[in-house]
Amino acid sequence: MHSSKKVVMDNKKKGPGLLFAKLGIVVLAVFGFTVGGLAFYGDCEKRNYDGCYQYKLQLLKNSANERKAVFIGGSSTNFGIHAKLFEEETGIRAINMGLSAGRSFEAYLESVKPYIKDGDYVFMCPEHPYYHSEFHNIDNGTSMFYLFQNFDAIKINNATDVYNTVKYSLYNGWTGWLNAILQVFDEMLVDVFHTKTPAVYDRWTCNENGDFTFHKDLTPTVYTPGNVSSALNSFTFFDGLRNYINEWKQTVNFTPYLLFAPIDENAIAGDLGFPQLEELIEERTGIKILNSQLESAYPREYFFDTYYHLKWEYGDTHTQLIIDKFIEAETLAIFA
Amino acid sequence: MNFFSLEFLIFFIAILVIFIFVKKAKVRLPLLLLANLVFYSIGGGFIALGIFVAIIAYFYGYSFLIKKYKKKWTLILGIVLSLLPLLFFKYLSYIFRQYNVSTFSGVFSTVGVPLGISFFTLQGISYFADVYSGKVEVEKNPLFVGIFLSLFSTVTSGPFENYSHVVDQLKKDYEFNYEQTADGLKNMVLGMFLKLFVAENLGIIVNAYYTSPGGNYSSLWLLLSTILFGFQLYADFYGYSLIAKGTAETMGIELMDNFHQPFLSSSISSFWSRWHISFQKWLTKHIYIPLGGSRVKTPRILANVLIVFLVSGLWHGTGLTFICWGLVNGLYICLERLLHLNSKQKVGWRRIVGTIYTFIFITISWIFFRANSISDVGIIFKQIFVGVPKDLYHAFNGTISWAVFNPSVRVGFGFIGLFLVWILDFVERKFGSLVTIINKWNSVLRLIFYIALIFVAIGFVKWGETSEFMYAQF
Repeated sequence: MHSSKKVVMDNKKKGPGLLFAKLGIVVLAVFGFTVGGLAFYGDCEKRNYDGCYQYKLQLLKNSANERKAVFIGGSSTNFGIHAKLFEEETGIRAINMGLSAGRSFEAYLESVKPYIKDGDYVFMCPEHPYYHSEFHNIDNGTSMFYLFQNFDAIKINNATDVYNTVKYSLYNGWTGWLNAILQVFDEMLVDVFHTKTPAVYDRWTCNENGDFTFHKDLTPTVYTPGNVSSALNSFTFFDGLRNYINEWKQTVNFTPYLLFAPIDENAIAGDLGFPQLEELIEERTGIKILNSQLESAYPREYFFDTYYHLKWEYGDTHTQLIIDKFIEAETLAIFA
Repeated sequence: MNFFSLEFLIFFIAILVIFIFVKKAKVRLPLLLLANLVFYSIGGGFIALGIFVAIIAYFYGYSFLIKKYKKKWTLILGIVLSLLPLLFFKYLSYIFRQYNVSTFSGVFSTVGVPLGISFFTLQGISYFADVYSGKVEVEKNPLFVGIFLSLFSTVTSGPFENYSHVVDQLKKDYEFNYEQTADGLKNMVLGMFLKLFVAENLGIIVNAYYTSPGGNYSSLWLLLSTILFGFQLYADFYGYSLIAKGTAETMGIELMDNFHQPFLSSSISSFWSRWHISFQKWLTKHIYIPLGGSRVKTPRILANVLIVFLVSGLWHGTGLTFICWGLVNGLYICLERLLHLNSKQKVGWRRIVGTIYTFIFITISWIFFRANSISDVGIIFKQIFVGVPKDLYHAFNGTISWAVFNPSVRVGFGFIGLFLVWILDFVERKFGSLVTIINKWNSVLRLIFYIALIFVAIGFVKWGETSEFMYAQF
C-alpha cells in the first residue's frame, strides 16, 4: 500500500510550483537568518563606521572650546595613535579621529573643521593610498564608504524593526541583505569563534579620547606584506592638502603637523627613498612632518594584519615617538 | 555583468520566470537573444555591444560564402577576418601599451577589450569550420547564430560549445523539466560556493605573496601560495563553469562539462585532457588535427603539440609569461610522449607516483601563469628552490622561529578550501557529479545542505570586494 502510493507520487510530474516553493524556502531561510541574527545580536546601530565616527565627532564637539590636539587619519591612526597618552603627557586635550581610508581625507577635514579653534593642533596622518589619489574626492569616497561599510543596522525588537530592516534591505538591494548577513557573521566570528579581527565598526569600543581600545583577540588574518613602491607618483594629493590648509588658516590660527603612518620595516619603500620623499612633501605643503618615515618603521611583529596596523600594545610606542617629536618641535618654535 | 551583482540577480530571476513559462521556440528565441544582448550591454557597454553585434552579423553572413564556394581559401580568409578584431583589441593594444604608441590609445581607452571577445571569436571559427566540413548546415535563421555566439551563460568565459549541440536544443519547443531546472540552480549554488569560499580565500593568500614576490618574508609562504594557486584557479574556473552550466540548464540548455577531476590525473597529458576541456577540444579539433595530429611522424607530432600549447598560451594572455607557460606545458607533453609516461592505464603505486609528479610539474608551470612578469618568475624560482631549503634549515636548527610562518585563520580557510577541492575530485571520480550524488539524499537534508552552502559562501567574504572570475580577463 505504502509503496504503491510512493510510485504514484514519483510518477506525478513536478511542476514549476514546487520549484518556486523550494526557492521560497531558501529565500526565507536566508532572510530569516538575517533578521533573526540581527535580533539576537542587536545593538548594531553604533557598531559601524558611521556610529563610531559620530561618537568621535561628539567628543570633538564637546571639546570645541578647549585647546586641543586632533589626530586625523585612517585605520593606522585609529589603531596606532593613543590620544589618551598624548593628553596625559602634554596636558592638551587630545582626540583621535582616525577611522578608515575608505573615506576621503578631505571629507575628514571638512567634518572636523567647524570645531577647530585658534591655538589648536591638527595632526594629519594620510594613509599611503591617499598619496597617489586626488585630494578632492569627497563624493566618490563617501558613497563607496556608505555603501559597503556603513550598514545602518537596526536593533530588532518588534515587527516595526523587521519592517525597517526589510525596507532598508530592499532600498539597498542585494547588497543590503548581504551586508546584514555579513554583519551577523562578523558578530558570530568575533563572539563565538574568536577568529576574526574585530575592526572598529563591529566592536565599537572607543575611550573618551576616541582611541580604539578593543585589544583582546586581535587574531590576525593573513598578514599583507607592505608595498608602497608607488606611494608617490604625483603630488596631486599634497598640493590639494596645502591649498586646503592655507585657505583654512586664513580664518583659524591653528598649527598643522603631518605624520607618517607606522609601517613594517620590511615594507618596500618608494622609488625616491624616504628622506627625499619627506623633504619633497614638506617643501610642497609647507607643513612640518613630525616623525620621519624611517622612525615610524617598526619590526614586523608590531603589526597584526597589514603592514600599517599596529597591535594595540605598540600604539603607545608610536604615540610616544609623536609626543617626543611634538614637544621638540614646540620647544624649538618658542626659540624660533 | 558580474554573476555576483544585484543586476545579475534581477536579470536572472526575470530570465528564470520568463523561460519557465514561455514554451514556444518562436517566442523564446527572440527573447533569449534580447536577454543576451541586454546582459552583454550591461557588462560591456553599448560601444562594445555594437562591435559585438557587427561581429555576429559577420559570422552569420560569411558562413554563406563558405557554403557557396566550399573552397579552403574562403574558410582561411574567414578565419583570418574573424581574428582581426581579437588581434586588434587584445594584442595590438598590448603592443601599443608596451611601446607607448598613442595612435590608438583613444580607441582602446573608450572601448577597452570587448567583453568575451576571445570566447565568441573562437566559437564563431568553430561554426565556420563546421559549415565548411558539412557537419552543420549553413544557418538561415540569424537568431540561432546570434544566440549561439551571445548566450549569456557562456559569452564571457565559455565553455566552448559545438554549434549543433546548442542549436539543436534551441530548435525544440521548451518543456519544463523540474529535475533539469533544479539541477541548474544547484550547480549555481555549488559554483558560487567554490568561487566565494574556496577561490576567494585561497586568493587572499596567493595575491598577498605574488604581488611582491621579492618581499622580505619567509619563502615558505611563497611556496605555499604557489601550491595554492592551482587550487584557487581550479575553484575559480570550475565555479564559473558550474554557474554557466547552471544558468543554461534553467533555460533548458545543456552545456558540456569543462573539468573532469584534473587533480587526480596521473600524467600531464591526462591533466590537460581534464582541465578546461572545451578549450582543449577546440584546440585539438581546429589546430592539432589540421596540423596532422598524431598521424604524422614523431618530430611533427611534437612540433604540433608545441604549437597547440603556444597558441593556448597566447590565447590566455599577451605577456611573455603566458607564452612561457604554454611552451613549458608543451614541453612536458612532448617529454611524456618520448618517455612513454602518458599511459592512461596506470594503477597502484604508478598511479600515485604519476599523480604526485603531475601535480608538482603542473604547479611549477602555474608560476609562469600567475607571476606578474618574467623577472618575478625568476625571483619566485629563486625563493622556492634556494630560499625554502635555507628557511627550513634555519627553522629546524632553531635559528629562526617557526612562529614567523605565522599560521592564521585565513590560511586555515585556504587549507579547508584545498581539502574540499581534493575531496570534490575524489567523490566525483568515484560516484559521479556532486549534484547527482546529493540528489539521492533526503529532500529536507538536501535543502539544508544548499542553504548552508549559501551561508558559508557569502559569510566568509566581503561582498562587493569579491574579485572577477579569473578567466573573464582572457
